[in-house]
Amino acid sequence: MSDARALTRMHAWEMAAALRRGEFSAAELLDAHFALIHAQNGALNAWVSLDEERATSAAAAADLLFAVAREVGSAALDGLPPLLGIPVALKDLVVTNGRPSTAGSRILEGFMGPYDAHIAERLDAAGAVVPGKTNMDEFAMGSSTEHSAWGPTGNPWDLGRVPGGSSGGTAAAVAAYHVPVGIGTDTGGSIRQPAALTGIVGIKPTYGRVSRYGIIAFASSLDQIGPFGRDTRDAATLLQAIAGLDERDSTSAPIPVPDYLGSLPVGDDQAAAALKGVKLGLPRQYFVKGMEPGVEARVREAVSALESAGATIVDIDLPHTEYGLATYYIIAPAEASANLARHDGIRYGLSDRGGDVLANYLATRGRGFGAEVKRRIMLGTYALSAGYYDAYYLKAQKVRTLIKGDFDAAFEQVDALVAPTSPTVAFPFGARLSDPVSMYLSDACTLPVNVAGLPGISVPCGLSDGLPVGLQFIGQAWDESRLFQLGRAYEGLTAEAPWRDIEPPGLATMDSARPDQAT
Amino acid sequence: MAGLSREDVAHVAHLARLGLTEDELTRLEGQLNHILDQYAVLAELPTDHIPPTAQTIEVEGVMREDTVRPSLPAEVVLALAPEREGGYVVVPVILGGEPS
Repeated sequence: MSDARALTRMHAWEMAAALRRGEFSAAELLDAHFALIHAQNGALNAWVSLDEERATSAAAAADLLFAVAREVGSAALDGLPPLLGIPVALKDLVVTNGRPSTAGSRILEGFMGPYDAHIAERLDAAGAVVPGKTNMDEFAMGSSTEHSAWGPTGNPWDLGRVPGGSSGGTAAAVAAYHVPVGIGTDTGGSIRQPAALTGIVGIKPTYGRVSRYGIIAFASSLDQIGPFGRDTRDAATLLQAIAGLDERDSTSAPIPVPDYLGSLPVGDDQAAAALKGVKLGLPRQYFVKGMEPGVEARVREAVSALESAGATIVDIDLPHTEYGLATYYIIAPAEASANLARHDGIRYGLSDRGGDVLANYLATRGRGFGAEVKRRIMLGTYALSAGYYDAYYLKAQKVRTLIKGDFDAAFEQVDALVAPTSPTVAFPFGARLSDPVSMYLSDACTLPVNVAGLPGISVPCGLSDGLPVGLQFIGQAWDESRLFQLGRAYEGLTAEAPWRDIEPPGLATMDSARPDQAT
Repeated sequence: MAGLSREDVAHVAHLARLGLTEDELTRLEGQLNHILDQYAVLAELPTDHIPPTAQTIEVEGVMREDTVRPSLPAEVVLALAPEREGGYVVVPVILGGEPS
């Protein structure tokens, strides 16, 4: 492994410390990451657009700040933002000024963002370096990243398998060391499920924690933005940089954002000690039919480890869990059918002219949207149409109350819940494409959390058949701190586990397949 | 609940302003009915006295200061339009007349 490649194996918090010590520059750090991206993206397809010019100037600006602070003294260096000079991937659902922002859709091919999303502004202000935008299921509808107009993304653990979705591009990029951290969005599991399937950390914050201004809308009462990282400390640092009230999103909440990283010990033993006296609920209903035995085994082993370290484990019933899938697949498509009406070929994006306005709508939308998006628009339009609204949409909103009530009751007994993230490991390309319902079941353990608006984190908890398994912690509203602490505690407990040292095997495959482009 | 006929699927596609091919209509008829079958599970839950939830967080009536602030630059926004004429977005014919 070359020295440059060794840089990419660090955590972001290690990179930040090394940048302050002057061991390497932000420009060198960016070059090392771009070298990997260029060598591997042909095989991985994690990135849909790169912006070397903007990234290079951001890295140069960071190096200037480091140089000035170094002159002033160590207090000035410590005062610099933690993401200064750190490469961060952005899901292509995030609008960025003057850059392609396609949401994985043909209908937005060539669309250049006319402004920066709130989180893009925040990351810019924090000095983060964005190499480009990552692949995703079209309009975030999917659990495999196969529903992208720009082709599927591979899983670094097995290039013949999906990375999960919809934020599969960011997950694959982080798992493949193309960036230490990245941004995804989660409407029904789109951060946590790909994090699980690629062996990294991903958190969906509480609904309203992060401003959605400039995030291309899917289902507005469910969508939330969150970070991926290769450990909980990095995920916490990235959430810190983007969380908080923004008046341009009236659903972003006026709730103070605590110091996430400050509550996460560096020492493994100290981190694990946080488990003493914690009460964790194990929801019976999350060990769903069709769960792979290897996944269940890893999750139950992890729960035993938490218990041995001092946590109290309580069996919990969330009795309406089995209604979560149907509830979600009415509410999300209904909201999507309304949100996606804006893609009409009039003001921006693909436009199929040649007839009257109705012909323009039909042709543009018929040609611009992919199969899954059309399916969901059809479902949503039907669920909202005259005569069916009460039976479907209103009914689902009432069941939503019951699902939320299950969680409220559980949190009267326990501090947080622990559960599987995904019932299966990464599946082969094409395995669930012909049956939409089997694809929807990928999110059986994550989507009730969105329905209730709660935060959930997925952390890696070992391998099954050589593929990563995710452990999910679900918290009370606004309690992301506790989820980070639990994730960090589990990391501390398993710091010496042999599976932590295994690199995704697909990385070596990509290198040997393209020796001419290796760094 | 009765399933969707092919005519129903075509009607919903029209409501959604989706121009679908015959093949797509055929495929969607099967898939949508399969998905709607999964929804049937909700009917077994008594919910007459349960209030609906539209929003999970308790934030209401959000107001901000009514101050003047810059909009997006008109030139940037107009440049995104599929067809423009000066400072206007050209829209296909809406009411009768010959399509341009």
